[in-house]
Amino acid sequence: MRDIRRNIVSGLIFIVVSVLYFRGTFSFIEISRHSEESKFLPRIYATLLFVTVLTLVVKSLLAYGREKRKEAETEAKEAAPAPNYPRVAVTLVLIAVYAYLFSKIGFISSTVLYLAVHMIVLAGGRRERVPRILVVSVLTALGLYLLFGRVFLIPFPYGSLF
Amino acid sequence: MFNAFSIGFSQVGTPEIILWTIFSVLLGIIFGSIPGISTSMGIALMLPITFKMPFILSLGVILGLYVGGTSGGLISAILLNIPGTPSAIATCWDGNPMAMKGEAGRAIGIGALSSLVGGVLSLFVLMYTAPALARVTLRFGAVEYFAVTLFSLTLVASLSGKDLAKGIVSALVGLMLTTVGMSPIDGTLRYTFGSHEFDNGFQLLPVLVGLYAVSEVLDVAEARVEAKMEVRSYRMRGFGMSFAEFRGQIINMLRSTLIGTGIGILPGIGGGISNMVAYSVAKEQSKYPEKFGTGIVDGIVSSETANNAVTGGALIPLLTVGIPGDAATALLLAAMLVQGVTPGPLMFRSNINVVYAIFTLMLIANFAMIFLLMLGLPLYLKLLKIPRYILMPVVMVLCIIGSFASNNRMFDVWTILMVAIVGYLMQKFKYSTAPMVLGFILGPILEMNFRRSLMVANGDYWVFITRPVSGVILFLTVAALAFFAYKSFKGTRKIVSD
Repeated sequence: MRDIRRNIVSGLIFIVVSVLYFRGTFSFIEISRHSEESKFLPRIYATLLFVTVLTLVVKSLLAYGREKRKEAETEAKEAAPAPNYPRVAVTLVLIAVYAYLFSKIGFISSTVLYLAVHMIVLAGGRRERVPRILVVSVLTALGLYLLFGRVFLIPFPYGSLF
Repeated sequence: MFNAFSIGFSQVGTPEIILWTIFSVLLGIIFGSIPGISTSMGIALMLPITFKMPFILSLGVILGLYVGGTSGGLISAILLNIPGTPSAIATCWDGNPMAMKGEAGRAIGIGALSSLVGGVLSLFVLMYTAPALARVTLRFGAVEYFAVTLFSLTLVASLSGKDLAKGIVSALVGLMLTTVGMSPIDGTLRYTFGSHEFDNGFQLLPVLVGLYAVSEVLDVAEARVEAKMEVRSYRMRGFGMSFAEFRGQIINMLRSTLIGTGIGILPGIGGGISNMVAYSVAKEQSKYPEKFGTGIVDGIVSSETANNAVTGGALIPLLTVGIPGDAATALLLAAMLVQGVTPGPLMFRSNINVVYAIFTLMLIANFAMIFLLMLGLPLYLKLLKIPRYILMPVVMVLCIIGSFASNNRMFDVWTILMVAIVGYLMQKFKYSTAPMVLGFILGPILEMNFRRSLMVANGDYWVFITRPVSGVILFLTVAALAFFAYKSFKGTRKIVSD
């Protein structure tokens, strides 16, 4: 039942994506007489996506009624610890902030900050782990800088700190 | 064959190349043994470093990571009952029961030896079939390349998930991502939203890192219970098999090599499937199928031979047609293109030394793998004990360094975040991301050859059907799609009636 609901919701999202993607082909910036051909495959992809997803949604809607009767039984079977979505959201925000700071304040300082905060979040904020996390964060950031920046000579963005 | 290896050794026979290859095998085993870090992720993280290396050296690094990563999964499969990579899923089924009986060292020895046999035999298959296939594909034009790529995509979409429609949707999402930026041939700007950052489109490396690595970090973040690493004790003594036992496994090894190599040739399927197929075939053919799953040699041999045999098989389409069969070979393709070498049938004429160097590096990597697997166990076990809350943020930092370093632009860093969100949501909605990856890899090849074909044929779309080879391949594409659609429809009806 949960799978059917997933199919319907994701199907509706992909229908919107396919329509917007198809519409986007009208705003290509054409620069030669061959530009018309550059629209061909995107339009085929959009049409195929629309048709496939529509089939998926219709199939799922037809199965929805049949499966509803078994819902109580199925839901009981599917009962499992709920995923920790708030932590997923925090992880995404932390990665975005790190990516931003990476180019603004420099590799070492942003990496120490990111590693420490993300490790504390993933460790569930347990205080006894914090000293170890801080040491690991500093050593890892310095180690990676020396390895990639000095040994492999990979350029890092210049930040205002270091 | 001796000629190939002697030329190959003359190309790779410097201490620097051999040592780097061996070191890369070690790194690959480490990446492969840690659950959550796949072979492709390991190669993606190391790829930017190879850009500044001499060409043959960079090949050694990537092939070493590829062979090491494919083999490393067996360590955690046997000692933790968690496959380090999808290639080692079936290794758990007999490897861990054997470890629970106190024979972990024996299980690892058998796994390592089987990996070597699978890897080396598939290399010989590659050496014998690739030149002959290259002679055929040398006659291919853009029309035939388009047909072959389309056929590959159809197989990917059809075979990589339970639901055909979802497989096709996932492949289409990958294809759609490739249309962002300048189009091939004429450079029309597509889906750039007025920003020049989008002009060059999405690069392979950030997309792969976003899909494989960051999605894994998000998976760890969503788990409410921290995974415990209980490592079984082990004691190594030789390869864990007597000569008589080895002789008894020869048929199993040959059969699993054929399965692994065959699956490796098919795009997008790879080691994750081959080990399970080989295991189930070995069980079916066995005189004592009831013993499978209780910790018997046959189970480990079939799984480990097949997953390493994929490495030789996956190189066949890359070297003969220039089409990568999986994410790892796509990264090898990327490394070769950066160095100015285009894989494909022409390489067998103009760059045969490179082909022989690849064969030789594969051989070195396979032999290095068996020794490093056996000797480095204490090191891998220490690394396996690193808690996830420490490991995953470090992986994330490596991802960002790798993505930034490939082009020195922050856009690639933002790309990994965007792709990770898309990949994570798709996984939540039960869409396999494997077809998406292959769609993204094959999309540019498909469109480039489509446009070239139309230019040659003056815009005549019938050219794809009227050319005999292309016509036959397109017919096979439609037939395969119809077959899998029928199978999917039948499966749905059975579920409903049940």
